[in-house]
Amino acid sequence: MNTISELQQRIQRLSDEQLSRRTLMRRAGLLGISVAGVTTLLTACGGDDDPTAAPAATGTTAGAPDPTATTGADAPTATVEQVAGEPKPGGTLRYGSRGFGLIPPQIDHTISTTLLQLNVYDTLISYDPEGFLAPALAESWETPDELSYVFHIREGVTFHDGAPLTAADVVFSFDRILDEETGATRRPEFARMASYEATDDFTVAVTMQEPYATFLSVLANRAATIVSSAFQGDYDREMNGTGPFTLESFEPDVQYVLVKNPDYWQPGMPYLDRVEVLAIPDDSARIAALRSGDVNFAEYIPSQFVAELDADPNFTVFSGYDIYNYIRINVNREPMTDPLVRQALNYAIDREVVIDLAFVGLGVPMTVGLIPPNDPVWYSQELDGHWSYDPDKALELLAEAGYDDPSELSFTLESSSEPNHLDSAQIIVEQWRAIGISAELQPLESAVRVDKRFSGDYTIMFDGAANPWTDPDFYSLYISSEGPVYAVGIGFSDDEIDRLLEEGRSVADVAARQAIYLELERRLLEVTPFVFINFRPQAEACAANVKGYVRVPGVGSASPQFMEWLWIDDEA
Amino acid sequence: MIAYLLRRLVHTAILSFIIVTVVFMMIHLLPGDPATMILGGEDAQPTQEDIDRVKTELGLDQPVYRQYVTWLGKISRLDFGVSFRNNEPVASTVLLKRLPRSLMLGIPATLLAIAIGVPLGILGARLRRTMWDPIISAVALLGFSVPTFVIGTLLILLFAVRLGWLPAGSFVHPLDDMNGFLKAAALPIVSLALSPLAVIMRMTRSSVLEELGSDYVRTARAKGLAEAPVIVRHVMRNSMLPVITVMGLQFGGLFAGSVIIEFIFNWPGMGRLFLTAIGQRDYPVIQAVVLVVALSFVLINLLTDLSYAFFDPRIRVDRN
Amino acid sequence: MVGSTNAMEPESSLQAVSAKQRPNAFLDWVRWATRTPRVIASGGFILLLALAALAAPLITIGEPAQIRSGEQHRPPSLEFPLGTDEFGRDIYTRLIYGARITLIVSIVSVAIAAIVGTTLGMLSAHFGSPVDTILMRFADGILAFPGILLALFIIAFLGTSVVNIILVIGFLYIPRFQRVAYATTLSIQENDYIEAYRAIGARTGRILARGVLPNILAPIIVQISLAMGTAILLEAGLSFLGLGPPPSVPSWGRTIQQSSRFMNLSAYGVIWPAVIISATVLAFNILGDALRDRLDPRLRT
Repeated sequence: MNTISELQQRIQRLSDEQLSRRTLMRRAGLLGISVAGVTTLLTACGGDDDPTAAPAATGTTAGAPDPTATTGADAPTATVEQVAGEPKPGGTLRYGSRGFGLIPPQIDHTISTTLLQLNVYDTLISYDPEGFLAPALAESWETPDELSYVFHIREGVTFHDGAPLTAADVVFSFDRILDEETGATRRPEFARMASYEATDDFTVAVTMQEPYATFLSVLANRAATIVSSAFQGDYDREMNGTGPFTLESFEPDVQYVLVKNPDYWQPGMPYLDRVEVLAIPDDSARIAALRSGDVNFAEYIPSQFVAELDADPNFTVFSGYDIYNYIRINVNREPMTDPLVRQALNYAIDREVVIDLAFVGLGVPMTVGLIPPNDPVWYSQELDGHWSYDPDKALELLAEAGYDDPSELSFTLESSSEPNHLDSAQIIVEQWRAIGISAELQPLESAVRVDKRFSGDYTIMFDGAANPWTDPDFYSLYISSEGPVYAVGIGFSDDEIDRLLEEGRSVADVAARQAIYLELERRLLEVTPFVFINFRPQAEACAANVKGYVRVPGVGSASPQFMEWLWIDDEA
Repeated sequence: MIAYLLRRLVHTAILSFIIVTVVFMMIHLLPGDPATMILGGEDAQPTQEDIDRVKTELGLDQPVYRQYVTWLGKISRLDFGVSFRNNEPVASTVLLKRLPRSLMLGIPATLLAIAIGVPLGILGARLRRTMWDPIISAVALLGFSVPTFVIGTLLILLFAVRLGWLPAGSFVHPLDDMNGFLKAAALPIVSLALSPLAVIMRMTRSSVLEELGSDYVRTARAKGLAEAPVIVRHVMRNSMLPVITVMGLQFGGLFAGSVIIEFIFNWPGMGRLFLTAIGQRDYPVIQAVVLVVALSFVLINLLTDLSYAFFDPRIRVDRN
Repeated sequence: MVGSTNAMEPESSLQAVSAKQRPNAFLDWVRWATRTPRVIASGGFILLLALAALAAPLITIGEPAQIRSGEQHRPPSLEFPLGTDEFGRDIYTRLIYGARITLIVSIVSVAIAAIVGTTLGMLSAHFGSPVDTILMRFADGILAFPGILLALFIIAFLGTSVVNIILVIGFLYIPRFQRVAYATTLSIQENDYIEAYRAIGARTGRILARGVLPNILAPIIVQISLAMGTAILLEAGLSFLGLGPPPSVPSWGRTIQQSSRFMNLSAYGVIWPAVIISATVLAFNILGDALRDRLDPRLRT
């Protein structure tokens, strides 16, 4: 244990750092610089002596460049040339994982799924280290008109069982996703295709029912994996992909072992011989395992450890803001039916304090909607700062809604028991109580919460999420009348929102779409189905000799899906 | 004796049956749906059709009593079914993988508790009215006054994080790497052993004291017999009875402790499986774990009772 | 060793509990308590804790849940005697309010368990087979039942609350009392005075309440004191697994669980509650030992 004065100093230093960091962020926001980029700058100055780690850390921006701006034909192949140092083959990565992936492909379990799924399976399209859509199993693609796509499948790729990849496998994979029996997560998005067929052994032509700007992003999703049409095994027990690693052994919720696929289609990769993934659900246990060398890579580093690990030359930390916390409001249940009440709840919370206390100052307040402020294309600058801490305004709105005495407004906030949620939830409830609202907090067990969320059985519920793609059509998943994430459960429906989403989805021109989504967010802020809180810091850390990790913009904490880039520098 | 054994075994069977039935009903009434958890849990938003389909697959669309009858039929053929989550046969997961790993902590912890607790208890009794007795007693009391999770957390902080001598949480199979296993298991075993150690020590001390005060010891002493043989031959044997009861209870209670210890030390035994299975509403796994725990608890009780007869021939277990 | 040293028969010492039979018993108890160092220490600590819990609003700083931005992780100072936690909440205030929860949970749950368990135990012994077989197997069943599942079940249905955690612990502790009551009732069943009650045709209730209960009270009281300690540990353990009272309630176990995540920044949030939990459990155990020595010379250590 440190002496008290040491602790004091450390805390002081930390709060100084937070202060400057936040001031910088605010300025950066004005200048239009990526917020997370500034953080990187600061963390790089924070005592990280390892020069090779710095370029890798440039990938910490959240929000990706416009994916529609790239075409497959000239997009760069994913490489690690950007990373300093010559990658060396060999070595074992021991990975401390929070959740745990399951074996069946095309079902999205948790963010930790990506690690297993996308290192064994591949998708047609992936991301390059800068966050642009990049060719993967589709070597290139064309869009002859706004309804059609032609994908040229990479030749010479084999599945782990030796079968060659052809267009038939891609068609089979699409069939499988659309088959209800599979329970595939992305079935609704794939159902927007009107038809698809293999025009020859290595070409797949797709026609959409109507223009669908998000389609390429959907193909890059972790649940859009390509499986073999010849495979006869049990998808629950075996994995047979085209990815950089093959599954050697698997014990559910304990560990799985991946070994190098020598026939991987990207030359020279993967570098690692072996990846052992250990399930360590408890945050403290995971950090302890990293510190004691039991693992040399750990995901979900809680923010209170970021500064400390970052200052330690033995570790490299990568962080960004790709996950956000928000509160979903059941607009069809009293006392939340009045938008004024919902807005009042938004004005009554001090997002800076939440970030300070729950995330030791790391994080970005949500002042508009669910799009991160550093998204250069889709963030609505015009609306920046819409939500602010204004308790007087909150009280006015409540009075207007008929609550002259705010204590008459009483409800229970339901939250998961996950520290990332529960910490903030505690603070927010205290803030509501501070202006007189009778708010209570009830943590729920995960299965119960999922059930209630699905059936819409809540008044307000704390939640965290990451957008599945940077295209703003992700709003459809929440607030379109069929939005499975939010609207369906509670029966939310807003004609204007539906109209705008429909319009935004079917227009290809970026400027026109920007105008539509600005309009959409205006309406969103009026309706206020959520309490918008903050983008929370999300970090991974590895031993200093683990090189090549890139936190891909827009992919964020799911970046361990690119295990093929990692290598171990035994001289470091 | 045999009639007694049979009666106890029948009781054991009935009791386990009732427990498992109660648990079956409880988990089926529990809010939370295995189908939603299978279809992605926290992050996914499956449609109602998807959920219904998975429920049909798992037989969860049937009324609970039908499911219960089906399950009883299976269990009577010793078929524990497969895990909802990954189709792994439950029997092999629970009995062959998870239970042995929990025992790898539980048995050494119990042995450690006995190996240190009993001598320390005797020592405490022998040193009575010296300055050492209250010190030993206080340490023992402290041993079961500090919460297990506090001990575990502090041990990790000290030995794994600060000193870096031992791993913080990993499992190594002793057949693969004995040295690695010993290192990995050291902290969890110590954390798990502390509370039973204290209980056993206290029990030993008080029952040895009681025996030391009894007539035959006084007689033996009066005859001028050496102290050590008296303790070993007579006192030990007679004072072991209550100690054995406590040992049995402690071992039976280890499961509760192992849930927390396996959670803190990330040990993939039955306790952690139980927590995960509850979280995922993996009914077949929950039921199998409960059955194993209930059965072993009751059987250990039986063994404890039987061992009375061994340590004290005066006792006949079937006297009533 | 405390108390009288003559070889008292267990029954005679047990009757000492009943103040009716011995007018001076109360004074005896006071004399014993005030002259026994370990009773003074442990009982004094518990008394002090209970007083502090009662007077919490008078002796603490603001609300226990009061969050102070910019004051998080302060070391002990005049302003915050034990420092502040990760949300700038005063640890001292939270511990004092937490004492309320801890004491209420342990007292009420142990009381429930003691009343139900003792009743069932006496009934089992009184009626004999088959009542005892059924009731005692019921006790075995609870002992063999995974407590965590029960806690989870109640919480999933009724939500996390202080009442629910009391119900869980109360239920789980029934067998402890049932077993003790059963064994001791059996041992006094054949005594003359019980026979006398039977002979005059007293009803079961009267026999148990007047004849049996006063005579088995001693081991029950000892058991209560020991169970208080373990109930506190159980509450802390359940809170640690997130199955305890809701976060608005500053229960000691939850405080440790929450603050342990910030242990790298400041350890005070863990150390103080760990110290106070251990000290309280220790106090109850020492008191239990002392009571046992006084009440049940057979078990005197």
